[in-house]
Amino acid sequence: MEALDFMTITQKRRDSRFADLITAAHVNVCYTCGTCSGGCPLTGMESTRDEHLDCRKALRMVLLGMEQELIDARFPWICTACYRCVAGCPMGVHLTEIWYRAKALRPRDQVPGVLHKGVEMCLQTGNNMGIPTEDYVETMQDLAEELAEEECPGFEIPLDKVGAEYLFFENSKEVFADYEDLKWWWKIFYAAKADWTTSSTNWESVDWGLFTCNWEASKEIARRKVENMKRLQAKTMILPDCGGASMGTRLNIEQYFKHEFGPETGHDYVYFFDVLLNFLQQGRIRVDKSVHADQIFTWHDSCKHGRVARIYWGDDCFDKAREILSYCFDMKNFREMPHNRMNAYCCGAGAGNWPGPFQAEKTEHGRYKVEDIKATGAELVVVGCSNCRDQIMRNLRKAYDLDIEVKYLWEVVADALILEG
Amino acid sequence: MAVVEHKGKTFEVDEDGFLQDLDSWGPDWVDFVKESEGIHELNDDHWKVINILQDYFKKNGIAPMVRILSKVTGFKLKYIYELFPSGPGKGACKMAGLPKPTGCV
Repeated sequence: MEALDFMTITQKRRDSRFADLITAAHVNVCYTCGTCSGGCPLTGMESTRDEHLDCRKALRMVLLGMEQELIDARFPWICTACYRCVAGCPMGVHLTEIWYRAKALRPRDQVPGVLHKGVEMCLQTGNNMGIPTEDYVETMQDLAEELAEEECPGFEIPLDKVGAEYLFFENSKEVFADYEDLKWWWKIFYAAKADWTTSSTNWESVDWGLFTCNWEASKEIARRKVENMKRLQAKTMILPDCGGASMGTRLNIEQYFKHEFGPETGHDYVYFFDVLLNFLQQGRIRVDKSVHADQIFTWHDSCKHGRVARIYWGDDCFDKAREILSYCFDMKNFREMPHNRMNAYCCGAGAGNWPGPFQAEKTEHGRYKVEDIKATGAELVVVGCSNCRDQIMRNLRKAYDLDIEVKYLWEVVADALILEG
Repeated sequence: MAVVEHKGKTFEVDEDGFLQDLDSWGPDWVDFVKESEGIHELNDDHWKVINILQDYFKKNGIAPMVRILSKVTGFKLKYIYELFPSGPGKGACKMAGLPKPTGCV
């Protein structure tokens, strides 16, 4: 590492590829109080001792002209963009904007793991995993037939239906591997007699453009969603249930495609929380709480659906989630985690860290979440994001000997559904 | 490029610990992955999955959807997860020497 020359720092800052952010993201008002690093689970981890970075130090690197060191660092990539640092900063510094810029400036052939490969695959084929349209359509129809036989007589997959009320996007990992998980949403739509559709092309919900800060790719992935909405004349786009995908889609809608939405266009977008709550409040679906009788449970506030949606758009998915739960459970069995809502800890899998290569780091990152879950004494943790679900269920449980069941919010709704015969 | 060593053999792997080249795959690689995946003994069903994954990959250049794998093997999804605890996308593909799938599997 080159020794710092304090005589040239001002000039280095002016010439920096972060120069605009130093004022726009309020980096110049940071007074190094350390609230950001104090609240960040990455601080002081064993698995990152070699790099020894935390939020405060990383921010200093930008101000001291050490931009290339930050771009080359692992730190921006193991940050899960949980936004605890942003929420806690007393000076309103948008720290995540700095990490995003560092990621964006990393040459694409040096993006960790398979993340860039996934972006390219999505741009080429319309989904991250390169699933051919023929296989996709066949699988969806096959699964639909299975669901019709099992529980929902007459159920069909409304692929490319024109003029539907709702447009839904699939997560390729469910289509590829966890295909039984698709049935929970389908059961809910069936019970609600919902008029819905999904596209046979560009159906991918996830946005690895956001994970890799490839903004052009992220915009294109969102544009395809909007294009599907227009092509199918769907009234309401359901933002993906994957937290990162909902964030990426909405960021791009707000920045580039806002004009495609609103009363004059006949198009709208909502979170999945709104759909579930709407169905429950309007009596379009009925649920039986006794299915979960006496089950002590807790709720994990996903960073992107929760803190991020609050910071960016003032939304409140916190209360909506708890209200949905109140329909499905006896809330006397509900135990809040010690850190919840705006203070909730990340599971450790956000911003591409679930599919990413940093296994030790994402596992250690999740230690505070594990402590919080254990503190509740719950037998079940309900989650609202696929990466959070997989990280807790498939990684943290084993790594920390965490004896707990993990279910999606839409899964507990589907489990409690009263299906009319 | 990272290299792992197992029982005197070396394998070139990517950042995710997946084999760089299917041509260097062999029983020693399977033995190496078996330990890290927490699988005690491989049975005929493990080998059936491994063989089908490799055949499909050689023909199509991608891993098969697990639904297709399930149909061809006759194994239910739950059983495939029992065979490969970290999942068909991670554990099974890794053991079979395929690249890591590019999704949130």
